[in-house]
Amino acid sequence: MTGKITILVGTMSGTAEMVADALLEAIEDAGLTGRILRMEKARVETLSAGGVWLVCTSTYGTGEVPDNAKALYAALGEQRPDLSKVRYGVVALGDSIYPNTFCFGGKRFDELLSSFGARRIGERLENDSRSPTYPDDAAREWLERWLESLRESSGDASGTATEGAEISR
Amino acid sequence: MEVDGFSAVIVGAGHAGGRAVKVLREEGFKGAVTLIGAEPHLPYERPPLSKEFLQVPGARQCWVLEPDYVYQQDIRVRLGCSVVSIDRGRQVLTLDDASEVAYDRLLLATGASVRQLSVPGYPAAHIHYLRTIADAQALERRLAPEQRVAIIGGGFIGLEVAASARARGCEVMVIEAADRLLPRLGSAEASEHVLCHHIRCGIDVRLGARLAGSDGRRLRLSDGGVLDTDLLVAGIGVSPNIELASRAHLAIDDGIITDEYGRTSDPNIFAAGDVTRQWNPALGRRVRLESWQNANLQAETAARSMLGLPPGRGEPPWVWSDQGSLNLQVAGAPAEIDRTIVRHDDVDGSTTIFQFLGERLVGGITLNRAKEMALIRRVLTDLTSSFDLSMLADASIPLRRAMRAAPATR
Repeated sequence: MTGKITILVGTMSGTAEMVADALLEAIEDAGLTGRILRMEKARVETLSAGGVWLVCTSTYGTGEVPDNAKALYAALGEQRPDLSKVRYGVVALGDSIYPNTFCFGGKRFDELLSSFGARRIGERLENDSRSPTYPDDAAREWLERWLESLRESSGDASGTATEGAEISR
Repeated sequence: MEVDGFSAVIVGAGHAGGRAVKVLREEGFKGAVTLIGAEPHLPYERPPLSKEFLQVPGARQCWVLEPDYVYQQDIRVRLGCSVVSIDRGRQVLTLDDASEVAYDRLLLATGASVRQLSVPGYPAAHIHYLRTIADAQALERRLAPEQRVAIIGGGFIGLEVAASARARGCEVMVIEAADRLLPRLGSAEASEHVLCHHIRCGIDVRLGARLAGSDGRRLRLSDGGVLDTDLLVAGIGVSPNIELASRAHLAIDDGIITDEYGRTSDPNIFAAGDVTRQWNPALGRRVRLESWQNANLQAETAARSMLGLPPGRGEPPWVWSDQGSLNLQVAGAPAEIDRTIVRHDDVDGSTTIFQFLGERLVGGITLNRAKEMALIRRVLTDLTSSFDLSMLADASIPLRRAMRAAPATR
Protein backbone atom coordinates (compact mmCIF):
# COMPACT_ATOMS: atom_id res chain seq x y z
CA MET A 1 0.00 0.00 0.00
CA THR A 2 1.33 3.39 -0.87
CA GLY A 3 -1.72 5.45 -0.18
CA LYS A 4 -0.30 7.03 2.90
CA ILE A 5 2.66 9.34 2.57
CA THR A 6 4.82 9.48 5.65
CA ILE A 7 6.74 12.70 6.18
CA LEU A 8 9.89 11.92 8.08
CA VAL A 9 11.07 15.03 9.93
CA GLY A 10 14.60 15.91 11.01
CA THR A 11 14.61 19.28 12.71
CA MET A 12 16.77 21.53 14.81
CA SER A 13 15.25 24.99 15.01
CA GLY A 14 11.73 23.88 14.09
CA THR A 15 11.64 25.09 10.52
CA ALA A 16 11.62 21.57 9.04
CA GLU A 17 8.75 20.71 11.35
CA MET A 18 6.83 23.74 10.15
CA VAL A 19 7.55 22.81 6.53
CA ALA A 20 6.33 19.27 7.27
CA ASP A 21 3.03 20.70 8.51
CA ALA A 22 2.70 22.64 5.26
CA LEU A 23 3.51 19.50 3.23
CA LEU A 24 0.92 17.48 5.13
CA GLU A 25 -1.67 20.16 4.55
CA ALA A 26 -0.88 20.16 0.82
CA ILE A 27 -0.98 16.36 0.66
CA GLU A 28 -4.40 16.40 2.27
CA ASP A 29 -5.54 19.21 0.00
CA ALA A 30 -4.59 16.95 -2.91
CA GLY A 31 -6.98 14.34 -1.53
CA LEU A 32 -4.27 12.01 -0.31
CA THR A 33 -3.51 10.84 3.17
CA GLY A 34 -0.33 11.55 5.01
CA ARG A 35 1.22 11.62 8.44
CA ILE A 36 4.17 13.23 10.13
CA LEU A 37 6.75 11.07 11.86
CA ARG A 38 9.58 12.73 13.75
CA MET A 39 12.83 10.94 13.06
CA GLU A 40 13.57 10.11 16.68
CA LYS A 41 10.36 8.10 16.69
CA ALA A 42 11.01 6.31 13.38
CA ARG A 43 12.26 2.72 13.27
CA VAL A 44 14.26 1.03 10.55
CA GLU A 45 11.70 -1.81 10.30
CA THR A 46 8.87 0.62 9.59
CA LEU A 47 10.90 2.11 6.80
CA SER A 48 11.96 -1.20 5.27
CA ALA A 49 8.33 -2.34 5.21
CA GLY A 50 8.06 0.00 2.23
CA GLY A 51 5.64 2.68 1.17
CA VAL A 52 5.97 6.30 0.17
CA TRP A 53 8.16 8.55 2.28
CA LEU A 54 9.03 12.20 2.26
CA VAL A 55 12.24 13.03 4.03
CA CYS A 56 12.05 16.61 5.27
CA THR A 57 15.18 17.64 7.10
CA SER A 58 17.37 20.57 7.92
CA THR A 59 21.15 20.56 8.18
CA TYR A 60 23.08 21.18 11.32
CA GLY A 61 26.53 22.65 11.85
CA THR A 62 28.99 21.55 9.22
CA GLY A 63 26.73 19.30 7.22
CA GLU A 64 25.38 17.06 9.96
CA VAL A 65 21.90 15.63 10.18
CA PRO A 66 19.88 17.25 13.01
CA ASP A 67 20.10 15.82 16.53
CA ASN A 68 16.72 14.10 16.36
CA ALA A 69 17.81 12.38 13.12
CA LYS A 70 21.13 11.02 14.34
CA ALA A 71 19.89 7.72 15.80
CA LEU A 72 17.87 6.80 12.71
CA TYR A 73 20.70 7.78 10.40
CA ALA A 74 23.16 5.66 12.36
CA ALA A 75 20.75 2.69 12.62
CA LEU A 76 20.17 2.69 8.86
CA GLY A 77 23.91 2.70 8.26
CA GLU A 78 24.49 -0.18 10.66
CA GLN A 79 21.53 -2.40 9.75
CA ARG A 80 21.75 -1.80 5.99
CA PRO A 81 18.08 -2.76 5.43
CA ASP A 82 16.65 -3.73 2.08
CA LEU A 83 14.63 -0.67 1.09
CA SER A 84 13.61 -1.81 -2.37
CA LYS A 85 9.95 -1.39 -1.47
CA VAL A 86 10.47 2.25 -0.56
CA ARG A 87 9.78 5.22 -2.81
CA TYR A 88 10.74 8.58 -1.44
CA GLY A 89 11.22 12.28 -2.00
CA VAL A 90 13.58 14.69 -0.27
CA VAL A 91 12.95 18.19 1.03
CA ALA A 92 16.34 19.46 2.17
CA LEU A 93 16.70 22.70 4.10
CA GLY A 94 19.99 24.53 4.29
CA ASP A 95 21.70 27.84 4.68
CA SER A 96 24.09 29.03 1.99
CA ILE A 97 26.15 30.56 4.79
CA TYR A 98 27.67 27.05 4.65
CA PRO A 99 28.21 26.63 0.89
CA ASN A 100 30.35 23.49 1.16
CA THR A 101 27.81 21.54 3.14
CA PHE A 102 24.63 23.16 1.86
CA CYS A 103 21.55 20.96 2.47
CA PHE A 104 23.76 18.05 3.53
CA GLY A 105 21.15 16.82 6.01
CA GLY A 106 18.78 15.97 3.16
CA LYS A 107 21.56 14.90 0.81
CA ARG A 108 22.94 12.42 3.34
CA PHE A 109 19.55 10.74 3.77
CA ASP A 110 19.07 10.70 0.01
CA GLU A 111 22.38 8.94 -0.46
CA LEU A 112 21.74 6.46 2.32
CA LEU A 113 18.23 5.51 1.24
CA SER A 114 19.15 5.07 -2.42
CA SER A 115 22.20 2.99 -1.52
CA PHE A 116 19.88 0.48 0.15
CA GLY A 117 17.66 0.18 -2.89
CA ALA A 118 15.01 2.81 -2.17
CA ARG A 119 13.83 4.65 -5.25
CA ARG A 120 13.82 8.42 -5.23
CA ILE A 121 10.91 10.07 -6.96
CA GLY A 122 11.52 13.43 -8.62
CA GLU A 123 14.24 15.94 -7.89
CA ARG A 124 15.35 16.85 -4.42
CA LEU A 125 14.10 20.20 -3.14
CA GLU A 126 17.01 22.21 -1.78
CA ASN A 127 15.81 25.31 0.01
CA ASP A 128 18.14 28.08 1.08
CA SER A 129 17.00 29.89 4.22
CA ARG A 130 18.44 33.03 2.63
CA SER A 131 16.23 32.83 -0.42
CA PRO A 132 13.31 35.25 -0.53
CA THR A 133 10.87 32.35 -0.90
CA TYR A 134 9.60 30.95 2.37
CA PRO A 135 10.52 27.27 2.75
CA ASP A 136 6.92 26.18 3.28
CA ASP A 137 5.85 27.97 0.09
CA ALA A 138 8.74 26.42 -1.82
CA ALA A 139 7.83 23.00 -0.41
CA ARG A 140 4.16 23.27 -1.39
CA GLU A 141 5.10 24.29 -4.90
CA TRP A 142 7.65 21.49 -5.16
CA LEU A 143 5.13 18.99 -3.82
CA GLU A 144 2.79 19.52 -6.77
CA ARG A 145 5.48 18.42 -9.21
CA TRP A 146 6.54 15.64 -6.90
CA LEU A 147 3.03 14.21 -6.67
CA GLU A 148 2.92 14.21 -10.48
CA SER A 149 6.13 12.20 -10.58
CA LEU A 150 4.77 9.91 -7.91
CA ARG A 151 1.65 9.25 -9.95
CA GLU A 152 3.76 8.49 -13.00
CA SER A 153 6.02 6.16 -11.06
CA SER A 154 2.98 4.37 -9.65
CA GLY A 155 1.70 3.89 -13.16
CA ASP A 156 4.80 2.38 -14.69
CA ALA A 157 6.98 0.42 -12.33
CA SER A 158 5.45 -1.14 -9.28
CA GLY A 159 2.25 -1.73 -10.61
CA THR A 160 -0.85 -2.74 -8.94
CA ALA A 161 -3.95 -0.99 -10.13
CA THR A 162 -4.97 -0.23 -6.58
CA GLU A 163 -1.73 1.54 -5.91
CA GLY A 164 -1.91 3.65 -9.05
CA ALA A 165 -5.51 4.45 -8.40
CA GLU A 166 -4.86 5.56 -4.88
CA ILE A 167 -2.05 7.87 -5.76
CA SER A 168 -3.86 9.39 -8.69
CA ARG A 169 -6.97 9.62 -6.54
CA MET B 1 35.40 46.67 -7.21
CA GLU B 2 38.12 49.25 -6.60
CA VAL B 3 38.88 47.98 -3.16
CA ASP B 4 41.29 45.19 -3.95
CA GLY B 5 44.33 47.12 -2.91
CA PHE B 6 43.40 47.87 0.64
CA SER B 7 43.86 45.75 3.71
CA ALA B 8 41.13 44.63 6.05
CA VAL B 9 42.02 43.74 9.61
CA ILE B 10 39.67 41.99 11.99
CA VAL B 11 40.34 42.02 15.69
CA GLY B 12 38.57 39.18 17.47
CA ALA B 13 38.42 35.60 16.19
CA GLY B 14 35.03 34.65 17.57
CA HIS B 15 31.90 33.96 15.59
CA ALA B 16 31.48 37.51 14.28
CA GLY B 17 35.14 37.84 13.33
CA GLY B 18 35.17 34.53 11.50
CA ARG B 19 31.94 35.21 9.70
CA ALA B 20 33.18 38.65 8.61
CA VAL B 21 36.28 37.10 7.05
CA LYS B 22 34.09 34.80 4.98
CA VAL B 23 31.78 37.58 3.86
CA LEU B 24 34.71 39.75 2.74
CA ARG B 25 35.94 36.95 0.48
CA GLU B 26 32.45 35.92 -0.65
CA GLU B 27 31.86 39.48 -1.79
CA GLY B 28 34.95 39.23 -3.94
CA PHE B 29 37.39 41.21 -1.85
CA LYS B 30 40.88 40.28 -3.05
CA GLY B 31 42.94 42.46 -0.71
CA ALA B 32 44.80 41.35 2.39
CA VAL B 33 42.67 40.01 5.23
CA THR B 34 44.21 39.66 8.67
CA LEU B 35 42.42 38.03 11.59
CA ILE B 36 43.78 38.59 15.08
CA GLY B 37 42.45 36.57 18.01
CA ALA B 38 43.25 36.04 21.66
CA GLU B 39 42.20 32.39 21.81
CA PRO B 40 44.55 29.80 20.30
CA HIS B 41 41.75 28.59 17.97
CA LEU B 42 40.28 29.63 14.68
CA PRO B 43 36.71 30.90 15.08
CA TYR B 44 34.32 28.15 16.20
CA GLU B 45 30.64 27.81 17.02
CA ARG B 46 29.97 28.46 20.69
CA PRO B 47 26.44 27.03 21.14
CA PRO B 48 27.68 23.39 21.46
CA LEU B 49 30.00 24.32 24.36
CA SER B 50 27.25 24.15 26.97
CA LYS B 51 25.65 21.04 25.42
CA GLU B 52 27.66 18.44 23.42
CA PHE B 53 30.95 19.58 24.92
CA LEU B 54 29.71 18.95 28.46
CA GLN B 55 27.71 15.84 27.68
CA VAL B 56 30.12 13.96 25.43
CA PRO B 57 33.78 13.74 26.42
CA GLY B 58 36.04 14.57 23.50
CA ALA B 59 33.40 16.45 21.48
CA ARG B 60 34.89 18.19 18.47
CA GLN B 61 34.48 21.81 17.61
CA CYS B 62 32.49 23.03 14.68
CA TRP B 63 34.45 25.69 12.81
CA VAL B 64 33.09 29.03 11.72
CA LEU B 65 36.30 29.38 9.73
CA GLU B 66 37.82 26.07 8.66
CA PRO B 67 41.62 25.65 8.57
CA ASP B 68 41.40 24.68 4.87
CA TYR B 69 39.48 27.82 4.11
CA VAL B 70 42.04 30.02 5.81
CA TYR B 71 44.77 28.44 3.72
CA GLN B 72 42.90 28.51 0.41
CA GLN B 73 41.69 32.08 0.84
CA ASP B 74 45.05 33.35 2.01
CA ILE B 75 43.80 34.74 5.31
CA ARG B 76 46.59 36.00 7.55
CA VAL B 77 45.89 34.71 11.02
CA ARG B 78 47.47 35.84 14.27
CA LEU B 79 46.11 33.70 17.10
CA GLY B 80 46.94 33.78 20.78
CA CYS B 81 47.77 37.45 20.69
CA SER B 82 45.95 40.61 21.53
CA VAL B 83 45.89 44.14 20.25
CA VAL B 84 47.19 46.69 22.71
CA SER B 85 46.31 49.90 20.91
CA ILE B 86 44.89 51.48 17.80
CA ASP B 87 46.63 54.49 16.32
CA ARG B 88 43.71 55.92 14.39
CA GLY B 89 45.77 58.65 12.76
CA ARG B 90 48.35 56.29 11.29
CA GLN B 91 45.80 53.45 10.96
CA VAL B 92 48.11 51.04 12.70
CA LEU B 93 47.53 48.46 15.43
CA THR B 94 50.12 47.54 18.02
CA LEU B 95 50.04 43.95 19.23
CA ASP B 96 51.12 42.59 22.59
CA ASP B 97 54.43 41.43 21.10
CA ALA B 98 55.05 45.06 20.01
CA SER B 99 54.61 44.23 16.33
CA GLU B 100 52.49 46.54 14.20
CA VAL B 101 49.72 45.77 11.73
CA ALA B 102 48.46 48.46 9.35
CA TYR B 103 44.83 48.65 8.27
CA ASP B 104 42.72 50.51 5.77
CA ARG B 105 39.49 49.15 7.23
CA LEU B 106 39.32 47.73 10.74
CA LEU B 107 36.62 45.54 12.25
CA LEU B 108 36.41 45.24 16.01
CA ALA B 109 34.76 41.95 16.95
CA THR B 110 36.34 41.59 20.34
CA GLY B 111 33.31 39.92 21.89
CA ALA B 112 32.54 39.80 25.56
CA SER B 113 34.03 38.33 28.70
CA VAL B 114 32.23 36.50 31.46
CA ARG B 115 31.49 38.50 34.56
CA GLN B 116 33.60 37.25 37.40
CA LEU B 117 31.98 35.99 40.56
CA SER B 118 33.51 36.86 43.86
CA VAL B 119 32.62 34.72 46.88
CA PRO B 120 34.25 35.67 50.16
CA GLY B 121 36.25 32.67 51.34
CA TYR B 122 36.03 30.71 48.10
CA PRO B 123 39.15 30.52 45.91
CA ALA B 124 38.44 32.46 42.72
CA ALA B 125 40.60 30.08 40.70
CA HIS B 126 38.22 27.19 41.50
CA ILE B 127 35.18 28.87 40.00
CA HIS B 128 34.24 27.58 36.55
CA TYR B 129 32.81 29.70 33.74
CA LEU B 130 31.64 28.86 30.26
CA ARG B 131 32.69 30.92 27.30
CA THR B 132 35.52 29.17 25.47
CA ILE B 133 36.47 25.67 24.40
CA ALA B 134 39.04 25.65 27.20
CA ASP B 135 36.31 26.54 29.73
CA ALA B 136 34.06 23.76 28.42
CA GLN B 137 36.83 21.14 28.47
CA ALA B 138 37.88 22.07 32.00
CA LEU B 139 34.29 21.84 33.21
CA GLU B 140 33.55 18.60 31.34
CA ARG B 141 36.42 16.84 33.11
CA ARG B 142 34.82 17.61 36.45
CA LEU B 143 31.32 16.36 35.64
CA ALA B 144 30.74 12.93 37.07
CA PRO B 145 27.84 11.08 38.71
CA GLU B 146 26.97 12.35 42.16
CA GLN B 147 29.26 15.36 41.93
CA ARG B 148 27.49 18.23 43.65
CA VAL B 149 27.41 21.14 41.25
CA ALA B 150 26.25 24.59 42.29
CA ILE B 151 25.47 26.94 39.45
CA ILE B 152 25.21 30.64 40.11
CA GLY B 153 22.88 32.32 37.65
CA GLY B 154 19.60 31.09 36.20
CA GLY B 155 20.09 32.56 32.74
CA PHE B 156 20.59 30.67 29.49
CA ILE B 157 24.16 29.56 30.18
CA GLY B 158 23.50 28.58 33.78
CA LEU B 159 20.46 26.53 32.84
CA GLU B 160 22.12 24.85 29.86
CA VAL B 161 25.06 23.88 32.05
CA ALA B 162 22.62 22.67 34.71
CA ALA B 163 20.83 20.42 32.21
CA SER B 164 24.11 19.04 30.85
CA ALA B 165 25.49 18.39 34.34
CA ARG B 166 22.26 16.64 35.27
CA ALA B 167 22.57 14.49 32.14
CA ARG B 168 26.00 13.46 33.42
CA GLY B 169 24.44 12.33 36.69
CA CYS B 170 25.49 15.27 38.83
CA GLU B 171 23.44 16.63 41.70
CA VAL B 172 22.67 20.09 40.48
CA MET B 173 21.58 23.25 42.23
CA VAL B 174 20.85 26.54 40.48
CA ILE B 175 21.00 29.74 42.51
CA GLU B 176 19.34 32.80 41.00
CA ALA B 177 19.19 36.21 42.62
CA ALA B 178 15.94 37.25 40.93
CA ASP B 179 12.55 35.86 41.90
CA ARG B 180 12.39 33.83 38.69
CA LEU B 181 14.59 32.00 36.20
CA LEU B 182 15.56 33.80 32.99
CA PRO B 183 14.67 37.21 34.46
CA ARG B 184 15.94 39.07 31.38
CA LEU B 185 13.33 37.32 29.26
CA GLY B 186 10.60 39.53 30.68
CA SER B 187 7.98 36.77 30.60
CA ALA B 188 6.66 35.39 33.86
CA GLU B 189 4.84 32.62 31.96
CA ALA B 190 8.01 31.43 30.24
CA SER B 191 10.03 31.63 33.45
CA GLU B 192 7.46 29.51 35.26
CA HIS B 193 7.45 26.92 32.48
CA VAL B 194 11.24 26.71 32.55
CA LEU B 195 11.26 26.42 36.35
CA CYS B 196 8.83 23.48 36.24
CA HIS B 197 10.96 21.78 33.60
CA HIS B 198 14.12 21.94 35.69
CA ILE B 199 12.39 20.88 38.88
CA ARG B 200 10.99 17.86 37.03
CA CYS B 201 14.51 17.03 35.91
CA GLY B 202 15.58 16.88 39.52
CA ILE B 203 17.42 20.19 39.66
CA ASP B 204 17.27 22.08 42.94
CA VAL B 205 16.39 25.68 42.04
CA ARG B 206 16.80 28.45 44.62
CA LEU B 207 15.23 31.74 43.62
CA GLY B 208 15.86 35.08 45.29
CA ALA B 209 19.08 33.70 46.70
CA ARG B 210 22.66 34.90 46.63
CA LEU B 211 25.95 33.52 47.77
CA ALA B 212 27.02 35.17 51.01
CA GLY B 213 30.31 33.43 51.59
CA SER B 214 32.18 30.18 51.91
CA ASP B 215 34.65 28.34 54.07
CA GLY B 216 36.35 27.09 50.91
CA ARG B 217 34.06 24.15 50.30
CA ARG B 218 30.68 24.80 51.86
CA LEU B 219 28.72 27.70 50.44
CA ARG B 220 26.66 30.04 52.57
CA LEU B 221 23.52 31.47 51.02
CA SER B 222 22.04 34.89 51.76
CA ASP B 223 18.98 33.23 53.29
CA GLY B 224 21.17 31.49 55.84
CA GLY B 225 21.19 28.14 54.07
CA VAL B 226 24.44 26.20 53.82
CA LEU B 227 25.32 23.76 51.08
CA ASP B 228 28.12 21.38 50.31
CA THR B 229 29.43 21.51 46.83
CA ASP B 230 32.15 19.89 44.77
CA LEU B 231 32.00 22.31 41.91
CA LEU B 232 30.99 25.93 41.53
CA VAL B 233 29.99 27.30 38.12
CA ALA B 234 29.07 30.92 37.47
CA GLY B 235 26.93 32.09 34.58
CA ILE B 236 26.14 35.64 35.60
CA GLY B 237 26.41 37.41 32.30
CA VAL B 238 29.10 38.99 30.20
CA SER B 239 30.68 42.39 29.73
CA PRO B 240 31.61 43.67 26.28
CA ASN B 241 35.35 43.83 25.60
CA ILE B 242 35.47 47.56 24.96
CA GLU B 243 38.90 48.38 26.44
CA LEU B 244 40.69 48.60 23.11
CA ALA B 245 37.98 50.79 21.57
CA SER B 246 37.83 52.87 24.71
CA ARG B 247 41.57 53.55 24.65
CA ALA B 248 41.16 54.61 21.02
CA HIS B 249 38.43 57.06 22.09
CA LEU B 250 35.68 55.53 19.97
CA ALA B 251 32.13 56.30 21.07
CA ILE B 252 31.06 53.79 23.71
CA ASP B 253 28.02 53.09 25.83
CA ASP B 254 28.34 49.67 27.43
CA GLY B 255 29.41 48.45 24.00
CA ILE B 256 30.96 50.08 20.97
CA ILE B 257 28.33 52.33 19.44
CA THR B 258 27.61 51.67 15.79
CA ASP B 259 24.98 52.74 13.32
CA GLU B 260 22.83 50.17 11.54
CA TYR B 261 25.67 49.59 9.06
CA GLY B 262 28.14 48.61 11.74
CA ARG B 263 30.12 51.86 11.49
CA THR B 264 31.70 53.25 14.64
CA SER B 265 32.49 56.91 15.25
CA ASP B 266 35.63 56.46 13.10
CA PRO B 267 34.81 56.05 9.38
CA ASN B 268 37.56 53.43 8.96
CA ILE B 269 36.54 51.36 11.94
CA PHE B 270 33.57 48.99 12.16
CA ALA B 271 32.29 46.73 14.92
CA ALA B 272 30.21 43.56 15.08
CA GLY B 273 28.98 40.95 17.54
CA ASP B 274 28.65 40.91 21.32
CA VAL B 275 30.86 43.99 21.73
CA THR B 276 28.56 46.38 19.88
CA ARG B 277 25.64 48.52 20.81
CA GLN B 278 24.05 48.92 17.42
CA TRP B 279 21.30 51.22 16.24
CA ASN B 280 18.35 49.02 15.32
CA PRO B 281 15.93 50.90 13.03
CA ALA B 282 13.15 48.34 13.48
CA LEU B 283 13.27 48.67 17.25
CA GLY B 284 14.01 52.40 17.19
CA ARG B 285 16.80 52.17 19.74
CA ARG B 286 20.36 50.99 20.23
CA VAL B 287 20.66 47.42 21.44
CA ARG B 288 23.47 45.20 22.57
CA LEU B 289 22.59 41.62 21.75
CA GLU B 290 24.54 38.53 22.72
CA SER B 291 23.58 35.81 20.31
CA TRP B 292 24.69 33.56 17.50
CA GLN B 293 22.26 35.19 15.11
CA ASN B 294 23.40 38.69 16.04
CA ALA B 295 27.05 37.77 15.50
CA ASN B 296 26.19 36.47 12.03
CA LEU B 297 24.00 39.36 10.97
CA GLN B 298 26.24 42.12 12.27
CA ALA B 299 29.34 40.50 10.81
CA GLU B 300 27.68 40.30 7.41
CA THR B 301 26.53 43.90 7.55
CA ALA B 302 29.83 45.27 8.85
CA ALA B 303 31.89 43.31 6.32
CA ARG B 304 29.71 44.62 3.52
CA SER B 305 30.01 48.16 4.83
CA MET B 306 33.79 47.79 4.88
CA LEU B 307 33.56 47.16 1.14
CA GLY B 308 31.08 49.98 0.58
CA LEU B 309 28.21 47.58 -0.06
CA PRO B 310 24.66 47.98 1.29
CA PRO B 311 23.72 45.91 4.34
CA GLY B 312 22.26 42.42 4.10
CA ARG B 313 18.90 41.33 5.38
CA GLY B 314 17.45 42.57 8.62
CA GLU B 315 15.89 40.11 11.02
CA PRO B 316 14.25 40.46 14.40
CA PRO B 317 16.48 39.35 17.28
CA TRP B 318 16.27 35.60 17.84
CA VAL B 319 17.91 33.30 20.36
CA TRP B 320 17.45 29.68 21.27
CA SER B 321 18.45 27.59 24.22
CA ASP B 322 18.43 23.82 24.62
CA GLN B 323 18.15 22.74 28.24
CA GLY B 324 17.89 18.97 28.28
CA SER B 325 14.58 18.09 26.65
CA LEU B 326 13.45 21.72 26.68
CA ASN B 327 13.92 23.78 23.54
CA LEU B 328 13.32 27.44 24.15
CA GLN B 329 13.29 30.03 21.39
CA VAL B 330 12.79 33.74 21.75
CA ALA B 331 12.18 36.25 18.98
CA GLY B 332 11.89 40.01 19.14
CA ALA B 333 13.22 42.36 21.79
CA PRO B 334 10.11 44.12 23.02
CA ALA B 335 10.68 47.14 25.21
CA GLU B 336 6.98 47.23 25.99
CA ILE B 337 4.22 44.61 25.93
CA ASP B 338 0.58 45.32 26.73
CA ARG B 339 -0.95 41.99 25.89
CA THR B 340 0.16 38.39 26.08
CA ILE B 341 -1.54 35.37 24.55
CA VAL B 342 -0.50 31.94 25.75
CA ARG B 343 -1.01 28.91 23.54
CA HIS B 344 -0.64 25.77 25.58
CA ASP B 345 -0.97 22.16 24.50
CA ASP B 346 -2.33 20.18 27.44
CA VAL B 347 -1.25 16.89 25.88
CA ASP B 348 2.47 17.45 25.50
CA GLY B 349 2.87 20.53 27.70
CA SER B 350 4.36 22.63 24.90
CA THR B 351 3.68 26.35 25.00
CA THR B 352 3.95 29.37 22.76
CA ILE B 353 3.73 32.89 24.15
CA PHE B 354 2.76 35.74 21.85
CA GLN B 355 3.61 39.27 22.99
CA PHE B 356 1.73 42.26 21.61
CA LEU B 357 1.79 46.00 21.75
CA GLY B 358 -1.70 46.93 20.65
CA GLU B 359 -2.52 44.67 17.73
CA ARG B 360 1.10 44.33 16.66
CA LEU B 361 3.14 41.24 17.50
CA VAL B 362 6.38 42.43 19.12
CA GLY B 363 7.77 39.19 20.47
CA GLY B 364 7.28 35.46 20.76
CA ILE B 365 8.59 32.63 22.88
CA THR B 366 8.26 28.95 22.07
CA LEU B 367 8.78 26.22 24.65
CA ASN B 368 9.06 22.89 22.80
CA ARG B 369 6.92 24.36 20.02
CA ALA B 370 9.81 25.25 17.75
CA LYS B 371 7.80 24.80 14.58
CA GLU B 372 5.79 27.88 15.43
CA MET B 373 8.89 30.05 15.73
CA ALA B 374 9.46 30.26 11.98
CA LEU B 375 6.02 31.81 11.56
CA ILE B 376 6.47 34.14 14.52
CA ARG B 377 9.74 35.40 13.04
CA ARG B 378 7.99 35.87 9.73
CA VAL B 379 5.23 38.01 11.23
CA LEU B 380 7.79 40.03 13.20
CA THR B 381 9.75 40.67 10.01
CA ASP B 382 6.99 41.18 7.49
CA LEU B 383 4.84 44.06 8.64
CA THR B 384 2.15 43.20 6.09
CA SER B 385 1.42 39.92 7.84
CA SER B 386 -0.25 39.35 11.18
CA PHE B 387 -1.99 36.74 13.28
CA ASP B 388 -5.70 36.46 13.87
CA LEU B 389 -5.57 37.01 17.63
CA SER B 390 -8.78 35.12 18.25
CA MET B 391 -7.20 31.91 16.98
CA LEU B 392 -3.92 32.00 18.85
CA ALA B 393 -4.94 30.61 22.21
CA ASP B 394 -6.21 27.35 20.72
CA ALA B 395 -3.20 25.08 20.28
CA SER B 396 -5.25 22.63 18.22
CA ILE B 397 -5.54 25.12 15.36
CA PRO B 398 -2.39 25.04 13.21
CA LEU B 399 -0.64 28.38 13.51
CA ARG B 400 -0.43 28.69 9.73
CA ARG B 401 -4.21 28.99 9.70
CA ALA B 402 -4.05 31.94 12.08
CA MET B 403 -1.79 33.91 9.75
CA ARG B 404 -3.60 36.78 8.09
CA ALA B 405 -1.36 37.17 5.06
CA ALA B 406 -1.75 33.81 3.38
CA PRO B 407 1.86 32.74 2.72
CA ALA B 408 0.94 31.12 -0.60
CA THR B 409 -0.20 34.44 -2.07
CA ARG B 410 3.06 36.17 -1.33
